[in-house]
Amino acid sequence: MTGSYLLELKNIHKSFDSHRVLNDVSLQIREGEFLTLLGPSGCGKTTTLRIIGGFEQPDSGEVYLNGARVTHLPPYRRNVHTVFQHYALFPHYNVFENVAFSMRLKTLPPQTIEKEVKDALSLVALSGFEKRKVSQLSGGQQQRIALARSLVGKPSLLLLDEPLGALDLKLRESMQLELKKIQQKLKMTFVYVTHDQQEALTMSDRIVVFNHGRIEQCGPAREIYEKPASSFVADFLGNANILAATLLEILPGSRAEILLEGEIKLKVPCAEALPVAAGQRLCVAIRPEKIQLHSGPSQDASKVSLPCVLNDVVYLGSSARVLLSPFSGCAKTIQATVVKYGRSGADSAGGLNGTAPGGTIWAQLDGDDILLLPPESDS
Amino acid sequence: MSMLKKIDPALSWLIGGRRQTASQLLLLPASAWLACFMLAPIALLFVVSFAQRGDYGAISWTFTLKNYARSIDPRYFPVLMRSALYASTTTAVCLALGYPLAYFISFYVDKHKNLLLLLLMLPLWTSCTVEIYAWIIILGREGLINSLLTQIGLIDEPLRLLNRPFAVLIGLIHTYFPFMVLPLYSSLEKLPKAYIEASKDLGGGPWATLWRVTFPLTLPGVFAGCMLTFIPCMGDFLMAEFLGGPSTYLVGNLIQNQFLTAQDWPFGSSLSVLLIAVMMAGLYLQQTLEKKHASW
Ligand SMILES: Nc1ncnc2c1ncn2[C@@H]1O[C@H](COP(=O)(O)OP(=O)(O)OP(=O)(O)O)[C@@H](O)[C@H]1O
Ligand SMILES: [Mg+2]
Repeated sequence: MTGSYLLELKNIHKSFDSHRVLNDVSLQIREGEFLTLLGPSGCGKTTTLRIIGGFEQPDSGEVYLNGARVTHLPPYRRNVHTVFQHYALFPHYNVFENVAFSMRLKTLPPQTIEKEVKDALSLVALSGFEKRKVSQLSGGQQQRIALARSLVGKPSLLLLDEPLGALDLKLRESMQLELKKIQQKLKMTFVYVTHDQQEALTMSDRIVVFNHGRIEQCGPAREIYEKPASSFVADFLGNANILAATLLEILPGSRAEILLEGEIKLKVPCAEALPVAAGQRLCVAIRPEKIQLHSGPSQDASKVSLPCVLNDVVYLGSSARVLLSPFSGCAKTIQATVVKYGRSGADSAGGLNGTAPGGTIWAQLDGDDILLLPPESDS
Repeated sequence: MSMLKKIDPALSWLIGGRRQTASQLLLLPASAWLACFMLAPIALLFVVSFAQRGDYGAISWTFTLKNYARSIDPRYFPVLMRSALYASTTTAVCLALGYPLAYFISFYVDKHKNLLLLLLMLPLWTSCTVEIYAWIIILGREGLINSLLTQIGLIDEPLRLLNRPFAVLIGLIHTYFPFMVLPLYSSLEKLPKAYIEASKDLGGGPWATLWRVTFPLTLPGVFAGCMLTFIPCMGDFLMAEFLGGPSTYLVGNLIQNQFLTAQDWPFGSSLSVLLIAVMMAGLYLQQTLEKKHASW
């Protein structure tokens, strides 16, 4: 029944002194998958990983590894290795002995150990570092040694807890690609924890989005970005504008008509099964990059134009983020991304057309770019 | 501007300088106590160790190295070896009992940690004499153990437990056990649990983790505990005096006899100075080892 998955979590609950940390977490991971647990700080990602690794026992629920129940097995009886958030390299061993640790425990012949360590070090591009002390390594090197140490025992599952958190952007980006390459080369299963949405999108086969100890959504990166299941997911991955709306009518051909912020009627695409019935309130999400800015209202009937006050422009380098206040009753600030943002401010189409903060600008929306979401819960 | 410059040093004296003098003032009683009761006696010992024994135990102030020559006389070698044997046995037993205890308190005790540590320190607060008499009551001919064993009928004649090496060792272990456990406990508490988890994660069971990770990483505590036990054990004379017999004559007793019985203060002093020197060398060794460990 559970045999087809490498790892399965079933209805895991966990509390620390009556503070609920994990709430009914269920999860299946197939062999060879790169799964990312994504969520804000304190949402229970590390706790989930610790339960998989055997460092924490769930209050209720079960953990299956290769179809066998391992819920109460100690860490050293699970063929699972962890790359810890702070590496935890042994300070009294040099690089070689750190990497060799798991093989020394199995008392393998010295030649085998030597060869395996050599292979692992070359895999993380640190050949020749065998004799170094751990304290003589940079953060990125320590991270790679921690990875080599965990890879060398050939675990069926590797858990990585924000392993790149301490690195600078450049190194992080190259390590992301390296990690992905290593995972594919060794055909290993990775469960990767991060709170960096970009990292999650770059590396994962599937992403699990956590919020307050619950799984909000689970699916391939693209699906999560393009079809978020809740306003939390939409906002956490890609900073969506979340607006209130009312569902007016469900139209044939997977479309629906909505009333946006009590003002604008829009026809939008929708899934077969809508979370609410006609006449009820729901949420919509609009990605900042899907909002076009123009100096006047649009002629295109399939689009809507909102007159807005340009509040502020945040320069981001390759693009700029524009903060807008719609003239309508909507109290929210809308964010739009402008790619062609020049120093002069006098940009061509798609830019700000020379509008200065305080000026009026039209935000143009295409109904097809609007995502329908269930209404925000009160919790 | 110039006003400010003038005020500035005064201000810094008020804020920084005076605080420094204040802290120095606060240190004064402790420093004076140390100087009077630690440094001065040692200095005195040092000076006296180069003097000669006069008539009727007086000190005659003529410089000589004879005392030192006598101190390293092979005649006293067995006494020194015996002391080292007692001290190292005590240290080994304390370590063997102390490490599991410290480990247990550090990892398995939740609520009553402080209470347990307090109980452990009890021997430090009780007077040595009380402890010795307690052991005499327990181990004596009509003591607790003998009367118990006689009553059960296991023995007819009372066992001779007192005035033997065994009794001296018991007394030494009892007295110096806290000196071993406390540094062990503190190094176990300081050990980041992440290392233990990493070891278990990589397949290390409880024993492998203890042997390959926990124990090596708490070696500084082990060194400190061993030194703190060994050094005072080397100088101890009370246990041998009251719980031991002729066969347990230690360096401490030898020195004590020079001062109280033989009235040969210069010789006693030279023995003391040598003992202190050996201990200092040991301490220095321990510090160097610890520094080496700290540079991981
Ligand atoms: N041993 C513990 N005792 C009590 N509370 C704990 C313990 N471990 C974690 N928690 C709490 O559980 C919650 C989830 O913690 P967890 O470490 O899983 O978060 P996280 O998602 O990994 O966050 P981050 O991204 O900051 O690492 C937090 O509120 C934390 O305070
Ligand atoms: Mg965490």
